[in-house]
Amino acid sequence: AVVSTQSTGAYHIPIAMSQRGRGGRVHVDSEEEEEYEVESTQTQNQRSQKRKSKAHDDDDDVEYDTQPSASKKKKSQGASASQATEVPLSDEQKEKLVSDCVRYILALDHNKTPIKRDDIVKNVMGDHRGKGLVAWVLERVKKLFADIFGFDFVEVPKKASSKTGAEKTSGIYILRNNTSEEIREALNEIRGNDERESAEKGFLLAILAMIFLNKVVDEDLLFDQLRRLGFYEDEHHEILGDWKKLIENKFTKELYLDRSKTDRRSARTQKAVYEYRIGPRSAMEIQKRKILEFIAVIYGEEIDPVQAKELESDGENEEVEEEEENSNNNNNNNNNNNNNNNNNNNNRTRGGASSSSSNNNNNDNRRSTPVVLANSSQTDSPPPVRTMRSRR
Amino acid sequence: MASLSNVHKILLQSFMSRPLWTQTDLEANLTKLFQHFPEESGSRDLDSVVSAINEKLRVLNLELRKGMSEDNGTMYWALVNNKHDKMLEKATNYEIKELNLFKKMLETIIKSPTKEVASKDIINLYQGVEGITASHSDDLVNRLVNENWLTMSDEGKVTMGIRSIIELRHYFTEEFEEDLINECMLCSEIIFKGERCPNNCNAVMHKHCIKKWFQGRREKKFPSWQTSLNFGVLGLGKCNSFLKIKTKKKKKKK
Repeated sequence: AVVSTQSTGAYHIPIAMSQRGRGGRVHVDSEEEEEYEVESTQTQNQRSQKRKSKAHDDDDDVEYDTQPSASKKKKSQGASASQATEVPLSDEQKEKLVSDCVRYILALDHNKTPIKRDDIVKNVMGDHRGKGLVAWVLERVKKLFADIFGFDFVEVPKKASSKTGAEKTSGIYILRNNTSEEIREALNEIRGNDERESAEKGFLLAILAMIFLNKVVDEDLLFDQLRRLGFYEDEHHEILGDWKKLIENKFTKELYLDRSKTDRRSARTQKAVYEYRIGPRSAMEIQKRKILEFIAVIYGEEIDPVQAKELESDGENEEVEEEEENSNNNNNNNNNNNNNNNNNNNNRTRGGASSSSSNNNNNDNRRSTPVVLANSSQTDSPPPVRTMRSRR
Repeated sequence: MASLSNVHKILLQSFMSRPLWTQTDLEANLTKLFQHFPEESGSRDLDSVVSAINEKLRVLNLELRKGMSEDNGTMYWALVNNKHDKMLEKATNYEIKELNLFKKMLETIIKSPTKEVASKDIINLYQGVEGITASHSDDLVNRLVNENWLTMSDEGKVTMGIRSIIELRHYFTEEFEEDLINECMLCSEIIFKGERCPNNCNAVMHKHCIKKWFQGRREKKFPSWQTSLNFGVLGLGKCNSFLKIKTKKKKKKK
């Protein structure tokens, strides 16, 4: 389902942008991406005025139009009556900005660093900060990625319980592979894989599977499960090396996993308990179906097609819901939240129950696995996953 | 702006998972891709496909470029950067100080008369760079060799790797004086490892360029030479007698 490989570049000549073997199914609606427009013009303007301009390759013969200009020379997307400084740029300069932006994004994405809109404005746009221009550049960038590489330049969905109140969008982007099935298949066939990358992907998939059934997993429990697979906390793995660091640092930073601190304290160690959820990148790159298939293989079970279909249509409902949430900007979590929007301990029932309200009832969760895997004998020999839940 | 076809996009993407491809593998991939997307129109040979891709990449200052390995004559392809600005600085797995050390290594190799340096000496260059230990440097060299930026011979001599040859060609010609950079007599590309003209005149040629040149000829020598070629190490300069032969050859063909 997921693959990727690292590659390198030499100084100056950094090239090798990395791997791209994703199979994201969750389709982020394009409307979401334009939501960043809704930021208040006031703050944007203030911010841009405070920032110093960075060293920039661009020529310096660009005049600033300091009047709150109503004349927009570039295509603008938002409804904002911008007070930002308008800079009339030639087409050539605009195209250069777009090119710089694409290269910048390729560089960041090489390490799977999520790309922040703020960083783009700071490092690429330089002095040309008019909001309309940024939006225009990002639209062109998106098209370029799609037309030349076949990548989706998409925004990471925002968590429902956002601390930053007014913002409706996360302002963070990733590059992921075009979701068409045939492209993914073709890519899988020809791509070169190396051992370490494949090992990391397999490891990640196993962890995602564990989290998937529970929605959220305490770090302790996750490590317990991993111990059963032969991963010991103080031992390095022969291929993965320091696997603990891999999870805590790499996977988290790359947004494959979502690691958050809770207020709870571990009875065992007295230290704060951390929770893991499926990260936004995983949600966007890996189809739920694939994770399910993976689990089914492990258990040696068949996937009940009816339930699985509900799961998939569940997925579609999620997106719709998410869109509505974003536009309503409410924290109503009872309906199909996207995994990464789920910040409380609500464990939704799978299998289409769309109205699980704030219920922390473990019973619901235990039901979800057998429902999907369509084999009641599961309840007799509780697999490790269930033990985790019942402990909580 | 028209978009590239699926086959083109996927071929381009394959360079992101593996930065260096042999021509053979790349052609095999292309065939497979056209099997996946049989309805795609346009030429199916590698050069046309690469052309089409490069046309789109031009605006991004990127390019798919090929180069020949000096050891085995294999043709390799890589995605290279044509503009050295800040934007792509981060797209590398090496730290800044490691890259500085790498630059020193490149310089040492180029400035050496035989274009090869004992690995011990290469590793010891760490002394001129802040913040790198001997073992770090050793490790760095191994990584660079693994990723084809440098090549290490069995006897522990370090020379230019194929990726450096493909990607850093322009950097070398800009950065170093003309007489430090040599061109192969036969293919006119930059050369680090090859054969010296036995005529005692310092011309240098890639081993495989020579093989190709002599393909089908009975005697492995240019007419003006006394002795046949023995595969050795390279030298510097141009070979007058060879030049004569080369131009003669061309005239004949024309």
